[in-house]
Amino acid sequence: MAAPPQFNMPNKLLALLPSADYNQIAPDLAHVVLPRGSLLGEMGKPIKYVYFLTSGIGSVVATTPEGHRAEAGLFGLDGYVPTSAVAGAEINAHDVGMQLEGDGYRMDYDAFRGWMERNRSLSKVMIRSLEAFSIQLAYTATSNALHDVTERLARWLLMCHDRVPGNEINLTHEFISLMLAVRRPSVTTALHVLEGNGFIKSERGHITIRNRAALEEFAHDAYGRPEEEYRRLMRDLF
Amino acid sequence: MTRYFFHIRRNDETVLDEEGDEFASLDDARVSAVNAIRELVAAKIKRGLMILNEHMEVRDEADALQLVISFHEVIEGQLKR
Repeated sequence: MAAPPQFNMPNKLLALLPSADYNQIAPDLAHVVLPRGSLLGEMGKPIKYVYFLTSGIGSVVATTPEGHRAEAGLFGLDGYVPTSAVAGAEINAHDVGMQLEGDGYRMDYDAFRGWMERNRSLSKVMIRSLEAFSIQLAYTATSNALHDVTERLARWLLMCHDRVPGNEINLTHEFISLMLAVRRPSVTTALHVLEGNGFIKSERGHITIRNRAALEEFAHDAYGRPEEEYRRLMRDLF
Repeated sequence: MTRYFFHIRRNDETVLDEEGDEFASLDDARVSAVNAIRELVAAKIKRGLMILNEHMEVRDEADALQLVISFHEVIEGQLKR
């Protein structure tokens, strides 16, 4: 399936391009369905494609040499292309996988590199997205160091909520514990606190956001700055 | 592998574990429970909250009680006398 006309393109990075630039690269975009768990990139392996999500949520997971893993950053239709790819590197630095099923468009990596050289608008948007993502990573690192698990969970749920169409997010405690790099009972307990406050409803494998404003207030300074920076970086680009 | 569930009991409420986790032995489940209690207690100490004597109940898939671990006992085990 070919890429849709730009006015129907949900991926924010592609939607931002001037239409002439979009039309130029669109023939190299191929639609892909991305089930939960599919890998968009594997640490240490060559980059084959870059992906522009139109739904679902992906995460970048860092893995230590001894096999400890934690989520470094997450993305959805706000768009993200691995730093490795923007830098023109051959090899993925991290694992990138789908944590919530979705779909998107992918571009062959060689084609992407070619467009990055020939299309100034595309490279401008990609470099902006790199900056936006690195701000997110910095705040994730800060949050991991400064905020307690319940605040970090609130932040993380808000970030997921920003990227799904409704109020429901299908996630297991096991999965969240991997993402936040805490033990599962810490997730269960933190969800219990958020639910006790009426911010969310937590059922098995399934979280519903009930009061987003209150959840944001609870997350306090753990949430909001990177989101604001993203909007600033993507404003008035062309 | 056996699936164990880790419920937390407080004076007035229970935090139910609906997912559980698989372990090769009950001993492994115990180690995991103690590590989880350490993490939960550490977070409370860091925030200056009181540590109630909560208990973690480890139950198997048939809901049979296998272990009860007291949060206070875990802390006491960490105190150097």
